[in-house]
Amino acid sequence: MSVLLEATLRSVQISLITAMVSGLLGVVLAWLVSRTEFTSRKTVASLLSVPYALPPYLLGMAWVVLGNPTVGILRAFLPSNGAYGTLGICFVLSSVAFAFPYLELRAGFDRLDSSLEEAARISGASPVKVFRDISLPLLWPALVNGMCLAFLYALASFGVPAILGLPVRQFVLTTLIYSQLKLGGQAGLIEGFKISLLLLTIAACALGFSHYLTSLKNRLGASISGARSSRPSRIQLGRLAPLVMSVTWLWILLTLVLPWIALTLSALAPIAGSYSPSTFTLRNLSYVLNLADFHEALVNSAVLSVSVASLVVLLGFCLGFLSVRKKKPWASRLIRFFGIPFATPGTVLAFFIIFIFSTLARLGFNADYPLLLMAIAYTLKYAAVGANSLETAYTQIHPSLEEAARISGARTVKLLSTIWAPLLKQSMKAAWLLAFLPLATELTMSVLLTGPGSATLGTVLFQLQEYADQPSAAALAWMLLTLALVIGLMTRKKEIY
Amino acid sequence: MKFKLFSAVVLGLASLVLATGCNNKKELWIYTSLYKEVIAEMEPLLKAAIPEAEIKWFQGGSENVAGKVNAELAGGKTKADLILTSDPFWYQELKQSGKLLAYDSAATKDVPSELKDPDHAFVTVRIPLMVMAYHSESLQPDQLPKSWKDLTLPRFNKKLSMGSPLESGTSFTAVALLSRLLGWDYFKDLRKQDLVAAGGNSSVITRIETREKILGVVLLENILKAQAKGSPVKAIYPEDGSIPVPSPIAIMKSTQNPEVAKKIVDWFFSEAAQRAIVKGGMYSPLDKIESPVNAKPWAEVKRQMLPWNSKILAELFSSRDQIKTQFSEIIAH
Repeated sequence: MSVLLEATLRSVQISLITAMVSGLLGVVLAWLVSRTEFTSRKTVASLLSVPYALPPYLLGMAWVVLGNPTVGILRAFLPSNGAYGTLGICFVLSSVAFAFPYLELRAGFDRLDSSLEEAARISGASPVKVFRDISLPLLWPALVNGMCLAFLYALASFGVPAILGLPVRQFVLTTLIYSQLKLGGQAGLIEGFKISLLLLTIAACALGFSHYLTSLKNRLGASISGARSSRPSRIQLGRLAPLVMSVTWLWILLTLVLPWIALTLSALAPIAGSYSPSTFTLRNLSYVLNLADFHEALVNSAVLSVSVASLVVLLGFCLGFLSVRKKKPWASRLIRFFGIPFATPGTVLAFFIIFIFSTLARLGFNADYPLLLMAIAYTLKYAAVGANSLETAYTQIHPSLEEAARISGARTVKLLSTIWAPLLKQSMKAAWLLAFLPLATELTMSVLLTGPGSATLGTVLFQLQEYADQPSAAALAWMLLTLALVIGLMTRKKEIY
Repeated sequence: MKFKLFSAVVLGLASLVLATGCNNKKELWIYTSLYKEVIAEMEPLLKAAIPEAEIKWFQGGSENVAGKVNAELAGGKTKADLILTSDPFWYQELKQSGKLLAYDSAATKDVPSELKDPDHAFVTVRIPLMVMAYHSESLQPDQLPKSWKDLTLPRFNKKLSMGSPLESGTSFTAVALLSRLLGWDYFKDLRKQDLVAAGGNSSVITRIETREKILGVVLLENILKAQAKGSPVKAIYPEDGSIPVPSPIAIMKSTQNPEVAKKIVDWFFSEAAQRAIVKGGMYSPLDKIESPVNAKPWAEVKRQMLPWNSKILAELFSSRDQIKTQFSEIIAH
């Protein structure tokens, strides 16, 4: 079998498995957190949104330590390849990508009028039946959209398949493009370009398919009224509680706690692989903390990720409105279009941006500020996150609310501020986090677009890994992971219920 | 809500533009793959030596620097005035497409001729060395490989790793020179040994330290740096020849300040600059500069080193794509 065919099949396989696993996990976990009651529910809820904050390559790094086929602590529980290979890639990607359907569905559950579910329950339907016949159809767009995002995410991911796939010679399309570009020469460039087009085609098919699936249910007339009458009454899990809890905690243990421990130990180790407590040192941490680049990166990453995430949400808010409520076909086409840069590997996107701006520079329009280029690249890449989830959210608001307001004399601005903004708050928050968190540590594009004075956290981590040593890189990775945990736990306090 | 968002965006973008700032002094960019520590050491010295210009550094891996410059050139214009990376083949390519400014510096008269481009488009400013490395607690002294050839012995099966020649310029040079010395059958044998070729040089060190793969093909400077931190990684200088990676410096033809750029080239061959390079674990092309601490003296290394000159460079350059493809086909797939 040719390398290209093999890589294509593997890419599709990995993306499909990741989307399926993410969808399943997202549904189950979002339902558990939103509709049932068990001890430590709130902690679980906030911990589950944390993995998304992590660049998946951090988890990849941690899993190389944990699941190394020769020396990893967990190697006994894993197949002969350890964490390397397709299964490992799917697992690590799913442990991050499940957050797409999870967050979408949680926002959906919040908008869902729980009196519908209660009515069914009072009429004698079992929780499973209530979920299947009431909640799921209403949450369908959110689920499809979340799974589609997970699919595209896996398809465009580069770091994880590079860390876990290349050592065992398993290529996916993104790593194949990278290796073709690295082969250099005209032939490699053309070949890389061809594979990029193939990747885009697959992404476009996925987007089209998800659009079709969403519209399918829309025709059935499913929508959610914004009138959230009361807090939902939660189901007591009873006998199942211990089982559900242990499975949920095992998942958190595997995707969060163990990687965190692995990175902690690596950060404390004086040299890679020596984990005896007597030799532990803070040298790596203090080295990173005193690095001038680290200080610079902290400021740059904060400014970039906050402003781009806000821009993306604002854009989604406006475009969603224009597409769903004003029925502007160009707006909905633009939203579909954003799927293209989202599904494009960062490497390719960054290359095009450099190319365009160098051409502009040649024409006398000099805008070659690395931070600006990064802001543009980030915005293009993550516009889909804001636009897709807000468009979905708009479709879930029943037009009756808007009509009532309109009849009462409200104008567009009034509608935006009194109806949509409050109802969409949860979705906007979710979309903002979905854009902000990965941007804070973005690597693939930044590494190509960076210049002097514009280091970001991702590029510094990459530098450390390439030029310093694994313990220093692990020290920074550990800091980022810990920070993400703190952010995750802080957002929990803001939840009302 | 919307207004808050909007103002956040405006503030963010405004600070982006402000952060880029402006300056009137002559500005020169050095794009390099030198280590941060080496740059930190050089920066104040260079500033003192050339006060009339504001010299800025862009640092990244060789491949990333090349990628950035190539992309900038594809658009017509690069910001780099000088380039200083470890992939000699890239300089050959830039020279052939007329992107480099020829400069025969008097400061380089002691650099051996085989380390200079005959047309003075570029000149070797430092010599990283590719050797073998091993985990000293996992391999007994009598079990060590003595030569590149020994790596194909059955007892090293599943124990080998190296950087990917597609990702790291130094690994490419190693593959190019080894294939020239031992032929492609050598790599077919290494494939049978399940050689892992992924990442850059520090990945190789990490794999040795964690004992994932206890033997590796790696840069001497990475070994020395690891040792300074107490790592059990040790170097083997193979009998059939260590691999030099002569790393050039060159001036881009598009520079606005060729005179200052030439002064910078001269400065890089000063004793202070060369010492900073040696401190980073690389050899100097100038015989009078001492060798790195804890490394084999240059005079000895030279006696067991694979040959290098501009003819070999040109020959390997013309088959560069072929070497990469061949390697990918044998090792990577």
